Amino acid sequence: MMIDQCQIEIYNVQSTIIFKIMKQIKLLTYLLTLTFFIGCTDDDDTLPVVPTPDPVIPTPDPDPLGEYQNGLLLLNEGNFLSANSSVSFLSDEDQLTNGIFTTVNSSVLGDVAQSIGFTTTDAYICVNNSAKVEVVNRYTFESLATITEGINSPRYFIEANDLGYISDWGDPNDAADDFVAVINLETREVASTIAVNEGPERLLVVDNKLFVSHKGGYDLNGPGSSVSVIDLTTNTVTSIATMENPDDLVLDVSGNVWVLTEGSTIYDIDWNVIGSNPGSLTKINATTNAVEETIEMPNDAQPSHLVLNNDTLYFNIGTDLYATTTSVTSNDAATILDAPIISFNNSIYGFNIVDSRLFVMETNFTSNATMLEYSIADLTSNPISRTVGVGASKIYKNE
Amino acid sequence: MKRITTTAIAILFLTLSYSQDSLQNLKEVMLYKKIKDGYTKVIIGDSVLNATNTLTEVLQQYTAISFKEYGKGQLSSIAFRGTSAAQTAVYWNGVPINSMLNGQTNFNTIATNFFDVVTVENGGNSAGQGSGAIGGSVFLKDNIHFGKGSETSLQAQIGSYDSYGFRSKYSYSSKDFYIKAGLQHYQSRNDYPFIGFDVKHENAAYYNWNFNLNVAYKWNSANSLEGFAHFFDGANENGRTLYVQSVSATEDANSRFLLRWLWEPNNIRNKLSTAYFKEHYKYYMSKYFDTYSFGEVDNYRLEDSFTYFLNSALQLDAGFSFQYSEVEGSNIPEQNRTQTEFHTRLSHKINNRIAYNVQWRKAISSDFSVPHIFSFDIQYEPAAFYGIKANTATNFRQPTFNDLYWAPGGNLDLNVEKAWTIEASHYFKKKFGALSLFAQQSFFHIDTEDLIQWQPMDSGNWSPINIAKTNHYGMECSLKVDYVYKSKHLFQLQANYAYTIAEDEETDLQLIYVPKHTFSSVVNYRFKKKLNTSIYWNYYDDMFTIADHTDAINSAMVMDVKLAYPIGIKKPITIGLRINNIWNTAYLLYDDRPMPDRNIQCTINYNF
Repeated sequence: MMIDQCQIEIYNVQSTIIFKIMKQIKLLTYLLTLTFFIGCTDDDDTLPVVPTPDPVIPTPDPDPLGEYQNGLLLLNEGNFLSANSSVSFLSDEDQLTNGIFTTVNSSVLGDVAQSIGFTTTDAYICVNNSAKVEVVNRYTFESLATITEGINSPRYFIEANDLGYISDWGDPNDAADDFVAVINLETREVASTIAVNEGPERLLVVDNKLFVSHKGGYDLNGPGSSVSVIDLTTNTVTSIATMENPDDLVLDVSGNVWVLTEGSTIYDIDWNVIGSNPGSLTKINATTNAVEETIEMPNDAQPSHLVLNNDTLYFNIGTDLYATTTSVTSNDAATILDAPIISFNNSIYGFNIVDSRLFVMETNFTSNATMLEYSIADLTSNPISRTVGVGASKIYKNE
Repeated sequence: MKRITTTAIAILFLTLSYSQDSLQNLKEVMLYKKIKDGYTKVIIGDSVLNATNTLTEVLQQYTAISFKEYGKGQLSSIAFRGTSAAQTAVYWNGVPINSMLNGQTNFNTIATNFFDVVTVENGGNSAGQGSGAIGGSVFLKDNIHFGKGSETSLQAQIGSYDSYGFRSKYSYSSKDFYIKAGLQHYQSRNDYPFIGFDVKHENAAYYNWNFNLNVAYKWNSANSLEGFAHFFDGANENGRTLYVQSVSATEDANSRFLLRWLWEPNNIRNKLSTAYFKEHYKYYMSKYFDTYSFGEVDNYRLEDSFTYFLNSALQLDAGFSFQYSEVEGSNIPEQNRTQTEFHTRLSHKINNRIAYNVQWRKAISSDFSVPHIFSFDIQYEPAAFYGIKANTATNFRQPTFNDLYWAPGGNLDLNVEKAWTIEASHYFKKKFGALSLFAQQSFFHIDTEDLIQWQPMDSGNWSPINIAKTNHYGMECSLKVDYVYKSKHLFQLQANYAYTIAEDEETDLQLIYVPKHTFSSVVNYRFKKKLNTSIYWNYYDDMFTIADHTDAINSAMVMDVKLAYPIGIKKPITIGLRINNIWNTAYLLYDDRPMPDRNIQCTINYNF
């Protein structure tokens, strides 16, 4: 019996809902890259040199803060309702360890681990379908707290100005109860909540502003189409209209916020596909909140993930990966999809670029997924293939 | 010329009249005995059916077929010889009832006590039965009978975790009229604790209502009209798992109507049936909100099956069925499908020891193409106490409406799943005075291809494609012993064992949720006509829960005990007490969904 038995049988009813949700939960965060930038501005002189990929094994840190420093943390969502999400660790010495949360804490991480967010000492793992956020020491992975009070469907975590913020769909069947929770980082508890539109997703901090993309959650009010800006001094919320399904948020060196809007499929009343709304790269001026550029994808294409690496924006449409620079404008829209820089063989669930290494997670919810590693400088050579966890989705740098 | 013609006609007339007479005689003696076939079967009668609640319980106790249960009272799907749930065909009085939406039957929604007999036929028989008969087929049957007067049966049931049920069944038959009606209800809060964990089976309450009505009228020895109606209405909250809470719920409402004209002149038997059956579900993502997604299918079916008994050794069957189905759902646009099937069968009894059958079926569907389907089976009985059977067949399973039309992702280019099956079995039956013995063993092999699997596509959507191939082989055996000692003590033993290897041909790994060993056993002891004690054992073997074998469910042995005591002068009232899982074993039949701890069920039956 194949996946169809165990998943589709759940009566196909539930499984088909699962598929809808999976389609909506597009995974990719470059929060690590973001944290790195913020870290850079604060602690420039104490930050160690970023190791470059070369055949010589770098000298390990003589005084590590924990077993899981100096490496990459990989988040595996698991299979919906199977409660088999996990975290893997790939050390700088190329040792891969799977299931580190369960190994260290002897407990189950939970169902659908959506993302990991970091403070200087902690890692906040948002376990979406278990209605909790697991807080661990980011280097030893020992459990520090499990936040369940005030958390329903947590999506992403970010730290800003000594407070933590978590986007949360509330009861996903209720479009009116979505919020951003404010976390006291010392007690590791929810201190207060800020009400926002349906489906808050990614979080990005620029000075005293928190940008929140709204993909729409269960789309009870239709697909999301806005980015909220929360003034962190007053906690007031303003809304910027974008194209449909805004998800990934990145900040470039010029201080612009780039939003990847994923577009959507249009059905008629009888569920026949009559068209699609294209996705786009939308550039927002972080000071004025004005939308400066909207580069609409040609051919109604619907991109999935966005990663910013230095000045290059990488995004994928299905199995094709594209690149453009942060100086792209809407005049370039017609040619932006002319040449993919690489096409993958299998459906991918996420990708990220860390230290010039391109990591690609192949979609697999029924058994352990494969992660491919390419060198971003040379995409033609064969990738390194590693077997990671079920539903591998996001990879973060941990140091 | 004229003389020859007259003689010829005279001879013909004489022959005809002679054969009429001899056939009349034959009819009285033979009563159109169906020529035996080479398929192994398990036939379960109403004494067992009356004592159980669902079809899952019946089959778990009396066969070695394994089931996946998503917690007690939740979805229960069959895995016959390691095949998928859609590869076991289920029939209600001849009408196929697997859902047109997902291709399966939820065995926990079939209340068995109304039926007269449930037959399980092992192995692939799509040529004889139709789509989905690959691992086997299950037949739910009402036997129409005449001249038996009236019978009433009432039962009340109460059990752990707020479980209540009542059943009522009434039948009456005169020499030409028959009616049988039944109404039953069952409900349970079903919040049993998960042994070894702090949580219980919350959000798992369910209820169901079943109403059945059969009517038949026989207006002469060759003609009768039969009508069957069935209504089901039920709802169940989808229980939480060990680690994930749940607020969702599903409602189901099904109805079936069947009208049949049975025509049995001399050496012919013709069944003309027309049926309407409907399935409808609603899925609430949250029981606290009114929003739901739904699916419904309306089916209209016309079927004719004609049997011609040339003589006692040769029998020819031919038939056709025509079915029109309309589907509509939250994610399915209004669509319809017409499917016409033709089938024929030749049964030949070579002598009193050997008989064989050849079958052919052709299905023509508006949605996909089906190859010609064939089967051959043979039975050889060298002695009265020993027999050998064998069969081989090509089989198919049609794609469902969900597979073809679900938006997004449905694939209109799907083909049927195909399987080739072969089986050999032998049996032994003998009575030694007060001891009767029946033993049966079969060896099978199934080779499937073009299995439909939902896979992620480049676009990010999931779509079903004909991609998988599996290979199954194994052995099933069963033993039945009845012994009466000094006319006072009755012992009965039934034991079933199956060894099943079912592998994905690409990875050579055992499929998920297919246990290698299954064992079930029932032992009965009755003293005179008084206390009846039964012990049920089930062994559930280790099962892998993920395709690459990195996670599994551990094996467990579960025992139930039942006591039944009839009271009253003519014994119309029986009080029953059943303790399920008497050793309080922790066990599961699906990942993260434990089954109940020790619990009890009390029943009172009143029959008159």
